Amino acid sequence: MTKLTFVPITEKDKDKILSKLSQMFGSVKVKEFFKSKELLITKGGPRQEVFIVSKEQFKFIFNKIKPILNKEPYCAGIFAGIYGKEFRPSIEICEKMFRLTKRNAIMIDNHAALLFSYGRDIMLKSILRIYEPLHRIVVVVDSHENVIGLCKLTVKNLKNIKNNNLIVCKNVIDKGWYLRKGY
Amino acid sequence: MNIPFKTFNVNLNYIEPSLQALHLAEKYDFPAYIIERYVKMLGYSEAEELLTTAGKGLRKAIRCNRLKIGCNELRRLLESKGIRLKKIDFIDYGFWVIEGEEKIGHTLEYLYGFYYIQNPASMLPPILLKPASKDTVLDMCAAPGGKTTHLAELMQNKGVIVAVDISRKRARTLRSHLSRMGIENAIVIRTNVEELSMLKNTFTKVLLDAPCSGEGLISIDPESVRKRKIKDFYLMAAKQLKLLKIAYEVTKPGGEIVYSTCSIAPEENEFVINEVLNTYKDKLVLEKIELNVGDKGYSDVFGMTLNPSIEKCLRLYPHKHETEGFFICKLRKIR
Repeated sequence: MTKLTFVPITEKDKDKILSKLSQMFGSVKVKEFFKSKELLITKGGPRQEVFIVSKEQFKFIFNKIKPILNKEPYCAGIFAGIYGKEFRPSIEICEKMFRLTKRNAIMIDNHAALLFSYGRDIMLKSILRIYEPLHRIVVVVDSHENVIGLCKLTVKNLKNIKNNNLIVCKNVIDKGWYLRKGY
Repeated sequence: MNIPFKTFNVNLNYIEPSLQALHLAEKYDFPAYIIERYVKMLGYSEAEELLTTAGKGLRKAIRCNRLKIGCNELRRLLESKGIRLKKIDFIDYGFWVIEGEEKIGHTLEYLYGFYYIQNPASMLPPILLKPASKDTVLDMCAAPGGKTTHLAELMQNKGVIVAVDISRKRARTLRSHLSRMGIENAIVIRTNVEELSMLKNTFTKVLLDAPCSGEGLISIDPESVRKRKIKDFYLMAAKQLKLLKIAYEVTKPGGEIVYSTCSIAPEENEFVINEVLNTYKDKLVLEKIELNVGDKGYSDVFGMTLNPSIEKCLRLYPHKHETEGFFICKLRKIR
């Protein structure tokens, strides 16, 4: 098996990631957030993971850990998501972006929040507020705007749906995953 | 038996049980040599107090994650769910769980990373190390992440923490906790800590919460204490000494090291510190600990006179402080 290594991301791949996040949260805040950050991507593992690190962390990895210890990090900074055919953002980065932009999210009631944290999907009647504009993958927050996870919309326009019991957003990942499975 | 200390003599006669120790050993079903040590450390009646905590368990406690929430708000949220908290006297953002212990690991607030379930004794080493946002910190035995997440909070998620653990399983747990608690300034490495010695004079602060016999966990796991042989303490001490020497190597001159164990055994604590102080004479000194809790370390124990500055170290006991049995000290590398 090839050794897993952390490498700086190429400009082309970085554009792809920033473009995906910009679609979800708008380009202004996304660009601003990434301005002082470095992106690393893993190579040689079963999947390509993307991490956001500070300049200091970047220097430490490339000046100390790799050349002196001859090691690779296990993880570093903020886990941004998985890079493949398409970039799949993590809860961590979506939470950061939601805090900065207050868009692309739905607020659900506390009962639904608890169920969602156990992997359940979201019915229309549980939605208390919509933070527009929405992307296909949206952030799910509880009534205090705490991020619980991400879901995938199953309908084009939430406002046109009349059936309150209809599942309108499918659980993609939730914070209960930390307990159920973990990294 | 291999005694790892080269700079002072250890006379193992100290484990010969007295009548008092034999009496307590029979009463509490512990090996007599273990009790003899407790009697010599604490005196007869306090040794018995310690033994009465065996297997009784410890009250749970949480550390509020101020990177994510204010502690008053957290308290309000948890109390609305029937979890009653009481502030820990010696930690501003630590709380005893008075009611609702069974729910504390299953709340949404836990998933949101608003708190970490942690014994108060384990909250002390990062407080003592006092890292700032400009520091480059090494957490030598980092998993599962209680202390790493605490260090990051104290550093306001700035600077760099290098968190090391060798086990893949434990590194996964560490990663999950870092993520849950919103930690951004850590780099996790899976490696044998011994390999770190190549990073000479690199870190401004080093935390070594060393692997230990777990003798301080008598309230939670008395069976493992009962099984301990005297040689186990010295095997552990050899390992701890090795790690502490590595901590010295990788710390920048002027930098600080916090050494802690969840053991109350002087063999793993005061003896180890005495050995490094003798080895690095004039290069490493103990710093005074400004915490409003705990007993001082032993400078004279089991018939051995150690470096008097070891009294600056701190000891915690379940029967006295309601925490795990714990040992902490802070060292400064002069050169």
